[in-house]
Amino acid sequence: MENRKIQSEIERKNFAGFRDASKLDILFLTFLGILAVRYLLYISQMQVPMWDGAVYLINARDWLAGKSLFEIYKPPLISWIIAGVWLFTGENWIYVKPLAALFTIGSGILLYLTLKPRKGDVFALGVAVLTMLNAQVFFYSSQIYTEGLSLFFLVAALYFLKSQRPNYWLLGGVMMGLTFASKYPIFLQCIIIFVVESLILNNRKLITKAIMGAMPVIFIAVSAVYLKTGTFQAALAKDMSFSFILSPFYIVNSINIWGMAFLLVPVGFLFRRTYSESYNYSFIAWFIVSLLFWSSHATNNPPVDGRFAIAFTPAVNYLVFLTIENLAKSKGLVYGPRESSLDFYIKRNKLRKGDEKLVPLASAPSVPVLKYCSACGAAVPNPAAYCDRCGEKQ
Amino acid sequence: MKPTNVNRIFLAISIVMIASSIVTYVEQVEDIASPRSVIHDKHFIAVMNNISAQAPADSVLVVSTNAPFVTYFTGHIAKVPFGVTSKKALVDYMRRNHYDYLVVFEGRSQVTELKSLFSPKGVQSLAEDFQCIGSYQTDFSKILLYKIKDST
Repeated sequence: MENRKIQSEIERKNFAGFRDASKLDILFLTFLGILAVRYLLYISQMQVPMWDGAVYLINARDWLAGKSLFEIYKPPLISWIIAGVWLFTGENWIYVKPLAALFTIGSGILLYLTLKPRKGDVFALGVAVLTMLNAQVFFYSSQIYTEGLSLFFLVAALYFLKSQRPNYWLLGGVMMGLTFASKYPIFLQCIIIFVVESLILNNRKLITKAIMGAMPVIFIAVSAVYLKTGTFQAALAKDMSFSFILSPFYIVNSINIWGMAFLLVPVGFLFRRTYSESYNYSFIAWFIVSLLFWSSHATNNPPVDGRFAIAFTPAVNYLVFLTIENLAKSKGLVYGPRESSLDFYIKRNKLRKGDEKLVPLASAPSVPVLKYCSACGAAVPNPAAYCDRCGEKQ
Repeated sequence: MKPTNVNRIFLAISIVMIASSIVTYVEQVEDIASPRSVIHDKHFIAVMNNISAQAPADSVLVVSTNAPFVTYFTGHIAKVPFGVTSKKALVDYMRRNHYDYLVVFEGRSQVTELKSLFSPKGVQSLAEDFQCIGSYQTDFSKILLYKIKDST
């Protein structure tokens, strides 16, 4: 009886994690609530869908009616979801107006959950909020466009591939396939994250699982379009030209697209810590390859707009906060979870630290520093099994 | 100045940059879509419904631009006459394919060569071969519906 009471108390405390949730979790949930209201208000002002939105609506109608598709090169997933909604509600475009926004908000939650365990609450909150409040992300997520959908599946792929569990890698593969079905070119960004994480972990079992997850989804998407239209075309021929001469569009318009915060990205690359932590590699590769890809594409395909930058906005914002983290940590500034337990104890109990004598002990053997912690970048003596600073196994 | 203070200054600047990115997003959102964009046009769908009612079911509409909007909201297939470069070629194209209806968004054409034909002055010359059966004003567009005259 007593045990059951204790058990129910534990369950009550852990319900939905709210009792254990930090203040920042609650702040983030509040932010998402306000963002959802802002989306609803903005979306309610839309009288007509945008150009591509109308195409996805027509394609959804064509999928339901068994007719040939209006534009065969559009990715099918959004039209399938719209068609699925219409099966229950009847055909009315008003019902699917908030669809992309829901996926974008979902991507914000996943981004926060991905970063929080490793980088801490403040870092995760910063990246997620900055991404959600990006003007391009907000505007195109308020339209019936694929940007919100592809962002969600891309971040979901990142979430699962950052884990080391085989089943998570299977789900990561499924998310990669769904990214392909939601917006074909964004699949490249999934591939980059997948390749980098595969190289870091070097685990053949996980790689196989991810491929096994992705292939059936891609096969279903391609074959469904092929059976419907008799062909599979990923884009118009004119949109598939790339150039070795890169367009400066995304650099010239970087502040318009990502805000002033973008100026911190190049600064982040100056810190050694940026390269010492393998967790950063996916984000660095994600940003660089995406920027090169879209700059190469933009050369021959004017007019260009900032919406293609949406998918790698989380990588940009990650690098922004990495710069701040580096600035905070590199010269002894105390920052979030990396604060040592002794410092924390002294601060909490309002104690004063005594003068430290930095004279080395005569008997202490000098251990040469030959490696750095893969998690926090701190110098670790070569024979050490765990990092003194963050406790990460070496 | 100590390095720590330099770092603190950079940190403060960084936080100001992030704050400015967040504060300016509302303005930037308004800049992405023009206030005269079709997405803000309150009368567009009503006009499309009128056009749909005037054209017989299953008839194809030839449009100067905006084919996806016309197709979705009228329920008729809308086609832009790509490759057509003059009024005569447009009439031939429509007669050859048995397309009877033309929807003109005055002053706008997806086919560069037909821009002058669909301009406010140019549409007057359509009267020789087309009968104007509807003229509609939305918030940001004037939309004209024509029926092609018999070739006899």
